[in-house]
Amino acid sequence: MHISLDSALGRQRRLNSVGESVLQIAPNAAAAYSLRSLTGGDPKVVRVRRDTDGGAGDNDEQDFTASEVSSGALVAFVGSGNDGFVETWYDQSGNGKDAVQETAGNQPLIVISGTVLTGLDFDGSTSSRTLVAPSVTGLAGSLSIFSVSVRDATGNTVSLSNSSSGGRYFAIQEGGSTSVANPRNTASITVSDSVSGVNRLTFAVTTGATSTSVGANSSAVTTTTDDYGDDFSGSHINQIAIGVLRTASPTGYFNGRINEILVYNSDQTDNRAAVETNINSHYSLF
Amino acid sequence: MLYLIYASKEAAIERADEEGKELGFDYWIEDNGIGTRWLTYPAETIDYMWALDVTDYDLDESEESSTVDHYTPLPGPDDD
Repeated sequence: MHISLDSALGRQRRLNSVGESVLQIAPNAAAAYSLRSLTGGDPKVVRVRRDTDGGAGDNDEQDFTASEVSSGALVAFVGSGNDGFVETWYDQSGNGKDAVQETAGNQPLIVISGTVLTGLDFDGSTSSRTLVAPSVTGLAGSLSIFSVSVRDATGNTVSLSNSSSGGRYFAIQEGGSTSVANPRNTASITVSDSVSGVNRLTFAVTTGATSTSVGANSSAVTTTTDDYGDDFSGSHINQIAIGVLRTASPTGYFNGRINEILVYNSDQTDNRAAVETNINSHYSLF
Repeated sequence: MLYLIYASKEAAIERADEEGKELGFDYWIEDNGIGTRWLTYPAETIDYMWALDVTDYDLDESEESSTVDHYTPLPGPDDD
């Protein structure tokens, strides 16, 4: 009994602690993307290409740490009145799953007309902006995703998917009044949770082909037992695509800002409350 | 939008590489495989050709006369 009480108190302290990073609260992420530090240190978070419209330094690129993004160093690099585009969103998990876009025309924005954004801007209505972490291995079995975004129109913030097959993915779609988990491993199913407003902190988890759940803005999850085909295993998933449903026969582009994506190769239901408390204290989403 | 249609993905990427070098993207300057490489990237068409968006490319006369203003993308599994 004493041990249980101590354990419970320890968990409550973790939920309330100030200054503890997301990856300290819920370690062993498969991938973690943000413009803020998720590690507690000052990691490299983003590589930016500046567009000076043919002026000095046009198309130059530079890496920035979390503190350099917030300090104004990023804006200074891009320059007054210019736009800055994300070439790489660095993975803070330590697994090197950096999300990259080598095509200038498909890079999301981080600075618009000299003003830095709080998230990466994906304009799915007029372009095909995406970032992809390629050659990903080990995403199988239970999978959890946290997605933080501000939606302008319906689209997918993140998809654990297959680079050559359009029929394998586990994605989060933000709709007008719902946040949706969309797993597919031969058969496409969806499970949705009602949500109001444009700010979204969505948690999705699948523990097998007949168990998928989604919850938005800290609400209780909605669960489906609909069968999406096979459990994810082996090389079914080989990439993390940000801002799109799939890259093979691409569709489902996101339109809005994406602030943060956390991917776990495990069921993170037990850590969800603590992780979302940390995220919401930073972004004030709900 | 203007597109050039290529019979192979490799040929389309070769043209995209050429434009990326012209624009001085980091991939070509640093020579370390890091950074932006292309302005646009080809997409597969319904008849298994490759369409490259060249709207903002510096085209020669031969290319200008070969552009098309639309193409039909290869449908995905949901579109079958």
